Amino acid sequence: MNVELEEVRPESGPTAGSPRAVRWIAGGLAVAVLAFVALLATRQPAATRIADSPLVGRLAPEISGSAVDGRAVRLSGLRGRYVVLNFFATWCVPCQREHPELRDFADAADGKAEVVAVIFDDDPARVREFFERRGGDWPVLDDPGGKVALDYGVRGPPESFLIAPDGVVVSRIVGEVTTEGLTALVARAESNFAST
Amino acid sequence: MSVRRLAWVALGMVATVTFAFAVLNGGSTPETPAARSERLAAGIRCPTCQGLSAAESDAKAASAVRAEITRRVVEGQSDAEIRQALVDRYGRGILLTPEGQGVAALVWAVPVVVVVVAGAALALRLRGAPKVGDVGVRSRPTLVKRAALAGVVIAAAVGAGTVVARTAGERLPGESATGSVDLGPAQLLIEARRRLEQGDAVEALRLYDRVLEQDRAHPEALAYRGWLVRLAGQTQEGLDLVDTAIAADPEYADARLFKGVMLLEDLNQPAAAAEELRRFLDLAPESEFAAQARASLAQAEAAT
Repeated sequence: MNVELEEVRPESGPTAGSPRAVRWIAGGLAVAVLAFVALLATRQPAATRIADSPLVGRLAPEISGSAVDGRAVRLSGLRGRYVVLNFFATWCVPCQREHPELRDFADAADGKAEVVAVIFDDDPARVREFFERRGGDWPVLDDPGGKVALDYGVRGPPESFLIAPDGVVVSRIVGEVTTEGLTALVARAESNFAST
Repeated sequence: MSVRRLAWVALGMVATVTFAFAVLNGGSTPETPAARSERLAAGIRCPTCQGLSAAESDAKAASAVRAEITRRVVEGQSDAEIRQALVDRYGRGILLTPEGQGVAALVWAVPVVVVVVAGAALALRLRGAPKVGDVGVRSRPTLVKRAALAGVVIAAAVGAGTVVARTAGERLPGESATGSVDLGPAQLLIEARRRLEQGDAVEALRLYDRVLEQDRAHPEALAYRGWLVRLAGQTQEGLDLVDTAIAADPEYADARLFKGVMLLEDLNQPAAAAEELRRFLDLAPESEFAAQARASLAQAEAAT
């Protein structure tokens, strides 16, 4: 009986179908799966507030038109200053929460940076009333067809873009902004801008 | 040639001819610009919706995407150029069908590799299996080792799947699973509003619950959940939720309106109701619900 067993299962190396070959294949598969997991796990986590955007590093799409208070706005006319382009809606609670932060940022920026808002799926009359009640004197553009939001790839309010003095998009911020966060972003962009 | 081999050759020829006919015939019908726009929109994700294409959704962002596609179709741009234009704005996540490039190519490549490797492993295993007449005695330690190895591989696969689900995909801040499945509160709220406008209260309620899973103190989700619960006949539970919404954001107008109506119509407290309704009108005088609030306020003042 023992002699027959040795003939069926020789012990010389991982031949096809031997347990050792199966082990090698299973081990190889496990390594491949782990490499796949490592690849995905080491990508930038999406939970960060600074989100990826194909626009970052490119010239910001032009925006021009009349703000809800009647003043003319042209994004390229603001070159030389940082611009925080903020997409918002009055019905969006995070937008309501970030409003005082934007107001403080605009006050503290003292001409070095400007805030420009774009209405995302909301009524301009309601927006005017919102600004009267909560303050803020930056230009607010209506976007009735959603074209501006599309040009910037906005998925839902609030979303903001930091645009450098040369008109290039520096960052996309998904969710509420804070005065502190925006100030830090501008400071970081300034040091990068100065070093280039 | 044996009959069996002849049958396989005939089957292969029939399959080849059928495939070629389908491909050639499918490409012969000219596509109208409208049909082309519709086809392209069906492959683009609605930017603000949950699991819908730009062709299916009536959200404003989807309408903007459709208009952009149509404009580019009319300009004579190719399918690839139109898709690329949208990818240049939203990223590759805007495409409903993953492309065979970069990391996204793994979506297509991994299943193929797994099938090929598994097939090869099976073939090797069968080749090496004891034939009829062989003495197929296998020692117990070998079986135990194989079972342990299988357990390790399964555990690694389950762990890998969990880690991939938690790390991959297009997501917004605060979200924990893959993007098109779990959306951020802003997108969930947009979808919930749309559902409410369509009269689908059950789905709206489910969406508000998902917002609250991510942010337990979200005023809008709390207030609207409270209102829907009240409409289902559970006034006290609804009122508790609306009170929580007010505590989270005293300036959230809709919560004041809901509380005022509940106090007036369900709890017969017109004085308290009038106070809430006045507060609502102070906060949102131009709301779409302002006329309704004024009527309820007049009713409450008449009853005090």
